[in-house]
Amino acid sequence: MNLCNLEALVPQYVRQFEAYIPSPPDDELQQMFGCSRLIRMNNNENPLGPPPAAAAFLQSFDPALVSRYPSGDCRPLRARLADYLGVTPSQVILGNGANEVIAFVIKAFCQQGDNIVTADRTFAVYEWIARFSGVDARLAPLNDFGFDEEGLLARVDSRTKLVFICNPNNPTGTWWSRDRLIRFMERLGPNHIVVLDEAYAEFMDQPDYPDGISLLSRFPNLIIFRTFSKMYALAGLRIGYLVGTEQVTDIVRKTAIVYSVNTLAQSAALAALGDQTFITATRSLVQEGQQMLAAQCAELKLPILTSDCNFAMIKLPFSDTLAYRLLMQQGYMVRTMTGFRFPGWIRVSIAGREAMQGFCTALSRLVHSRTDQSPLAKVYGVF
Amino acid sequence: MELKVELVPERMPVVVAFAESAAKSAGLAAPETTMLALSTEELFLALCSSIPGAGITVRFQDRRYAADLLFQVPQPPDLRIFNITSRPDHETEEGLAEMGLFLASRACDQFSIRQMELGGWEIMLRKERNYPAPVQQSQPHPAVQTWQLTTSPAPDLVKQFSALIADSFAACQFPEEFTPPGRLLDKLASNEYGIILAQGEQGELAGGLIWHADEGRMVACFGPYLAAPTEPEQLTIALCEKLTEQFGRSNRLGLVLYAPQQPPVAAGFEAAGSLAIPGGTIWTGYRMLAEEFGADAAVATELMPFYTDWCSSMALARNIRAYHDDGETANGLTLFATRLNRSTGMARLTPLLVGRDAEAVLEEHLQLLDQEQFSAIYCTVDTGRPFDALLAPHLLKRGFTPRMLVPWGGTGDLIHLHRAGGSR
Repeated sequence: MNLCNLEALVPQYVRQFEAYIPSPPDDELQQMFGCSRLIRMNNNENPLGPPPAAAAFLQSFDPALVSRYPSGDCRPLRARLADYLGVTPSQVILGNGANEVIAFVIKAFCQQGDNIVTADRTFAVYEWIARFSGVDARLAPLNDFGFDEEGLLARVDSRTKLVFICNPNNPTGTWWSRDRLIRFMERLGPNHIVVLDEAYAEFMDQPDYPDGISLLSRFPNLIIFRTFSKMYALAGLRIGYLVGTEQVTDIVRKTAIVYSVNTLAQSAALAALGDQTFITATRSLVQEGQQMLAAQCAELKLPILTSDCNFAMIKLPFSDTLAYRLLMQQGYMVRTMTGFRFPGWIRVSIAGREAMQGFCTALSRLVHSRTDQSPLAKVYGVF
Repeated sequence: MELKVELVPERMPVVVAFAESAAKSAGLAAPETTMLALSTEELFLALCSSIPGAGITVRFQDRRYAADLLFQVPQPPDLRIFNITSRPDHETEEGLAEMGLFLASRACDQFSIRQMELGGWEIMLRKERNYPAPVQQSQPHPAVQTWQLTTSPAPDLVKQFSALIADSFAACQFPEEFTPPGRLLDKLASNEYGIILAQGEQGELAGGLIWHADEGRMVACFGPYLAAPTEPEQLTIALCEKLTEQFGRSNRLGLVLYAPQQPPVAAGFEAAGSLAIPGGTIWTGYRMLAEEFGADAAVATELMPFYTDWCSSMALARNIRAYHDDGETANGLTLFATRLNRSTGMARLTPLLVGRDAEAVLEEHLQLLDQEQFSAIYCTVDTGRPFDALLAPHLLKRGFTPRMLVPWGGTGDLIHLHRAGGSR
């Protein structure tokens, strides 16, 4: 093939897109940054690991089963989820992580020339999938760190197919109450689909935090996303799902990839679902970790955004990407927020007590070390 | 607009006519149009002798402030012609083969060659428009207490900003293309440049900064240039953070900031070194936009102290390999892309290929630049391209000193070296 022609084959919106590069394995990073161990506090994983029943299942899994295809449409799990959530099995569609479910929905409803509307500083994958699918992503600025109804509504037009609301929002942890969500749905009207991403719903312990699924009968244009990656600690198995009215899921099913959720993930999710003791233990761990972080930030005079979620955002008086590199040298991996359009902020996942104590010490050391001017810079005659 | 022809001399009038039409349609005046047409003629004939008969696509791009002609060829031409030190020699066959693009490299504002990502080579001739000199109208700048930022200011505000820069800042603190106002407005309209301005409550200009995002992975940023805010540090932080926010979720890896009035460390910029340029020395800052996972780096022994010091200061994770010249076979030739700015006396050499003839080719370039009275010469070496390391000892021997490090500025990190005129 003449390589010159390859460029002509690639759509402009793909050509402009930069591939996401995930982080290398821990051993490579440790070697590169010279740290003896690495604690990942960047992906909002649950440090408790999966619920006991899921862990027991994984330990006893029969390898012979992997030679067979999984349930193509996750039938047993859908039935269990439907029962748990109070919907019918056909209202549930599972995917290889919530990211895949986002792609199903965008593919189902959008074509070139259409647009999606979401916030400018939220989970990036809505925007990414839209853009590399040739769909415009219209972004409303956050207001006081939260989704802004007015900004979202102002960007909606006749070509808006989907409005994505991350509730609670990753990375700020802010959330809309039930009343606020209802008010927004009423003002938006029925001509657009609203995707309510509830990836962190199980962490929420607030009486007026809305259960989006309970609003489906009132607002059939709602789709709710959830995941087993966060609370249920099955991130490595990649499994997430959406719930909508049957009318909506019948459409999304057309673009859903069957057999994409593996046997292990389906069965582990079945075992994990609804373990209230585990959820309570996780919430308790998160609360303790948030308090530790808040106290440390108060001492260092750093602004912090805490919430019920298993992450917090901290504002630093210097570059977040520099902080990332310096914390990596101490063995702590956080998420920089420049990529979320929050320059100077880091997002820290709540870890176990020992890791949190270690992180607080590392953060303190980092902040104190940066208050002095760089001695090297003086040598070279610059600030 | 594009033209497809074969590389045979008979097609030359067609290509020149294309260049002339393109230049006129882009609003270039007659002298600039003639320069571009003559450069096109010279380049086309050079390509005809280098890769005779090959198919070529000539594309025209109107950048508002300039007309670009892009010559896309499927295979590399004889790259020696791109060294500006190659001189016309019509006397012998050998001389013809080595004839350089003397006119193109001098008559055009930019003359460059690059290997295209998906195959083929592209040679660019850029000729910029001329703009009328600004009418001198210094405006008072009242103190501004509160401000709002805008990324799409009205043209009149941009003109005020251009005037502010020209009136209040030394020439070494801003690129000349930010004045006159017409040129700055056209640069902004090209979408390669962007601006963030701060306005007070009455719409008065409080300050701003300008960025330039070309095809690389870095964004060059200039400023902030402030009028008279009551809290300059707060405005500096606001402007720099807005800038970072704009590129936070983009395919860019970093921001390089030139000549701020105060180093905006609180806004996330780290010291990256300093640049001595005619008229003064400017602070340069760096802001990495992405999380980095470390990299391998090949560095000449002579540059090792500078590089390791800066890696340590910037907390860069690098597997550094000292690169020695062990006599292995390198590229067959050395090729520099040269960018000249005659009005400021600055020249920038970027090694595209480094071969066994590096020392001689470098020496030729320096002699020529000295003869033509360039007072500041810059060169970059890329730690991601091991053969670049071969060039470093020759640069240091000829008076260059490392001044600045831009992580991920090239394939790997870019070390910027500088040689003041006559400092050999």
